[in-house]
Amino acid sequence: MKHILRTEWIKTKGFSTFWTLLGLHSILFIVFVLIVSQLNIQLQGVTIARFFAPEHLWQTTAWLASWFNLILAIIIAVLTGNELSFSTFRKMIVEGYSRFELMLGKLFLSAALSVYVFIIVTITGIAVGYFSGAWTTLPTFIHFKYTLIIAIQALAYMVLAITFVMIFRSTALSIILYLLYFALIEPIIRFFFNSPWDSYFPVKIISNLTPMPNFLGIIAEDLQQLQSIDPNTLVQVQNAPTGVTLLPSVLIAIAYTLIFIGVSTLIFKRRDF
Amino acid sequence: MVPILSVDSLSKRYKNVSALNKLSFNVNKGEVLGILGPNGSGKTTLLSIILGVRKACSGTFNWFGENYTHNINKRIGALLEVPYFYPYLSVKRNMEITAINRNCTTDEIYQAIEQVELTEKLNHPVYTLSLGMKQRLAIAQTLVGNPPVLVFDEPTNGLDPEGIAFVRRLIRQQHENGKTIIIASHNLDEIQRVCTHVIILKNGQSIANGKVDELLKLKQIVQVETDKVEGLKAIVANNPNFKIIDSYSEGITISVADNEAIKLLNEQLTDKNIVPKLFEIRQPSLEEIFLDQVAK
Repeated sequence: MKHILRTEWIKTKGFSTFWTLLGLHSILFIVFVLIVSQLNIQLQGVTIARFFAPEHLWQTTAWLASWFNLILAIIIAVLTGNELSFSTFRKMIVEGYSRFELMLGKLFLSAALSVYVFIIVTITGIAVGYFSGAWTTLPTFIHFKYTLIIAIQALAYMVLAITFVMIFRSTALSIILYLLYFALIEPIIRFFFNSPWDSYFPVKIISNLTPMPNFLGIIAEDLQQLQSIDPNTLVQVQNAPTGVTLLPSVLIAIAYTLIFIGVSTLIFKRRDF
Repeated sequence: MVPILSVDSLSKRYKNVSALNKLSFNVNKGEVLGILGPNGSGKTTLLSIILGVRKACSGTFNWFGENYTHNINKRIGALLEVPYFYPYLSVKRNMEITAINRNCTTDEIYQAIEQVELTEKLNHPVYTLSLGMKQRLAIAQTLVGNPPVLVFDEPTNGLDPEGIAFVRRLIRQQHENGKTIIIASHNLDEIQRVCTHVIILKNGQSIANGKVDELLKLKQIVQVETDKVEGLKAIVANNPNFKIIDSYSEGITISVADNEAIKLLNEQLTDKNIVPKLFEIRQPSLEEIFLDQVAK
């Protein structure tokens, strides 16, 4: 295993596009979250900063980070596509690497980027917590689980990207089809399925891992303090169903990730290079 | 003695095209085997299968008497088709990727690079190298870890005459060091100079196989020049014992199986009143054997 890690590290560290895209991901995400958290916009008496309060901070940050996960999927697609366009997978087989090791190399890389997402979301969350004045002393970790979950989401996106590249063999085509699948193809397919089955499609499940914070609930909660609202109504708003609940979503997303790995491994094993 | 490589009834089809058709042969320790064949004869497909890059449709092969696993390739230095690298990485980094999998030290990388005279380019990105340098780098990668078997697919591709002479020297040197070498090439002169054995492929099948010296004795070449070339061609075309290898305005070069056929040709020329200006009998070159076999 160690030799695969070393090989992947040599290949990746010397690839300037990787660092450019990763830098772009970090900067865009950090700057975006810091700016949004500092905006002084009021919606019916509730400020944006309210969504970065200690009890909502991690979910909001994870949700915002999920928008940037596609960049990581593109990075992995480029790195995997390079191996096919440079014919270096072929060369590595000739040099004695097994086909499974080639797959494992890209999985390690995806796992490393998932850890990176976890770290950057955590650091950004802590920074936002202090800058926005949510924490005055020690940081709080209410709903910190979303930071772990976004790492699972990133991994699922990246493994799906590897599968696309292995199927279509062209980096550009794979990225285009991958984005189309997210934005168009799966939503259209889902349209023909009734609830609840439409909630179990891969992109739907994986993107729902970091759900949008319950803005209506948060606003209603604040409005309750300004006006007199029936507490029963508030409970109904906050618990409004949004599809599959979190734990089953995580388990199904992990199952999908394993299926993507299985499909990619099968292609690696059977394909002529 | 267990052969280094044993291929048994290997077949491969691409849709409706048969690339290899029940091909069988052995390579023994210390041999330098040349694989010859016209374009599309199955040379690269054969090498791709025995190196695990492509899957055979049927048949088996084994290396060192063992069933093939990916680990076998760590004992084989191979250059398949054009050289493949990470172009954005330096020569050294590309060498490291090969060396890591073979548990080789940095010193072994330097030795291999020195053998192909690329030491000066060690820290240069591969995309800055010329085609010839890339070819030499690919050869250096095959030498990392001192594997007992070397497999080269068109090793002199893109090389200038000096580069070709360099590769020839290197192959001879490796052969003298006891290595078993398999070379697929279009360069028949090159194969004749360095190979001890040869296999000629056509349509995925072996049409000739054996020691180079013995193959060269199977046929004789007769070069005939005359003023009546058309009459000469008519004689040769009507006799299955003669095969035209080359044809030019003053005459033809034909291959014949034995002295009886030469005698017959002489008689027929006399009968038709064709007076040769040149009638030369000589041993064939490998190219002529190749053309003779492939033209069948």
